[in-house]
Amino acid sequence: MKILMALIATVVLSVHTGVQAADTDAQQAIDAAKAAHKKADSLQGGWVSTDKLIKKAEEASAKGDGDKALKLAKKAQKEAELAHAQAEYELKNWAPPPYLMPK
Amino acid sequence: MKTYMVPAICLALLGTGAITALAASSPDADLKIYQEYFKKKFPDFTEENYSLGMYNFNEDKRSQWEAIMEFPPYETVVDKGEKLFNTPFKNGKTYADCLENGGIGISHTYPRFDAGSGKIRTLSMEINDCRESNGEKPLNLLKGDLPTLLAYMAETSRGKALDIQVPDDPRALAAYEDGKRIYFTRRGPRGFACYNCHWDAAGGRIRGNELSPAIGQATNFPAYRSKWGAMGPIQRRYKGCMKNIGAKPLKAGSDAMNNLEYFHRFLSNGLPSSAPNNRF
Ligand code: HEC
Repeated sequence: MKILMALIATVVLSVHTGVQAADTDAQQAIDAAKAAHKKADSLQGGWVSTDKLIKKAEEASAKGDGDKALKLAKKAQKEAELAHAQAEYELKNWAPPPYLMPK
Repeated sequence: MKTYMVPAICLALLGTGAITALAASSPDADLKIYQEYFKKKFPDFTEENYSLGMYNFNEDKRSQWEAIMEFPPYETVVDKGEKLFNTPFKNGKTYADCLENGGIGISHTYPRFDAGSGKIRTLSMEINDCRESNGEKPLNLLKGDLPTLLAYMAETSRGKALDIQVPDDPRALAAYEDGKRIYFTRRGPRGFACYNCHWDAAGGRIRGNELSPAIGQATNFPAYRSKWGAMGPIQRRYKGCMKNIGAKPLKAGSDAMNNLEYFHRFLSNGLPSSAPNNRF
């Protein structure tokens, strides 16, 4: 009986920590994506789709679907990094097209 | 400021050849080049054609627009705007007390550079600052009473040539350059800049829409859009285009948005104001 109780306890505990681990991973990924998105925004470069991905990640996380949340957050992060790189590039290289430049 | 620095470097490196480049990066020289482009692209365009925008390029839409213009929805908004404009604040003062020429016939000169703050002031800012200095709450910049007031004020400028001044002050030039930068910056997942559609592709189509040329657009705003079912200011329209290209819209009333409006309105300098107008 004691052994059985201990066994159940371990199973419950490990499942519980498993879920928690996924949740923390997802939460960390969401926070990281938000920070990256904010960085792109600070250069006026954020994309609309990133907002949507972050929102979906948060919804998945709230429903307890840590895997899905993690995937969506990672995707959001990647997008935000692309957006930031684009904005940085544009700040240095923007120019009117040749046909609108003085000859 | 970037383009002002570049010629200086060129000058050092190349000598006299760069002097023309230096002279050519003034707003007035820019405008000449911009106007020439559309003169070549649309040789038959009259001033009216510039204001017609997309309706130049689609007969059906043009006749729909003409039908709407027989009893234009903006008229009731203008009437309402006039009432709002003349209703005194709680302290008895009115908008007319804050504004140059009592607010009449000034709309076509906004946005303006303000030497005091070193920043661009939109007409919306003038209205809200007037309210606040008279103890009233500022209005929402995009919807409701503010665009309604703008519509009335625009009506008093109808037919007057747009006259956006960029005075010879480094801060005014910087604001103009910043607006220009935003206009020519690629944003969103597919890397679209405003000019890709409203210069490159002006007169062409995108997803069932004919594209208006950049010059002339600003003469129509604020505009009553059927899509909005309301009168809206030009910054609301900018936000729509930004969203459509997947770029997070700049905040209405931010320095960036005001600088964009400054540059974009400047593009229509010399064309008669036809605001408020109706748009789909
Ligand atoms: C992917 C193409 C595209 C891009 C890029 C784009 N627009 Fe537009 N824009 C449109 C379409 C389509 C319309 C509706 C048809 C029309 O009036 O040209 C429109 C309409 C407008 C209008 C209203 C014109 C009128 O007379 O009613 C303004 C003003 C405008 N755009 C400004 C901008 C600005 C500023 C930018 C950059 C931030 C921009 N647009 C970027 C496609 C684009």
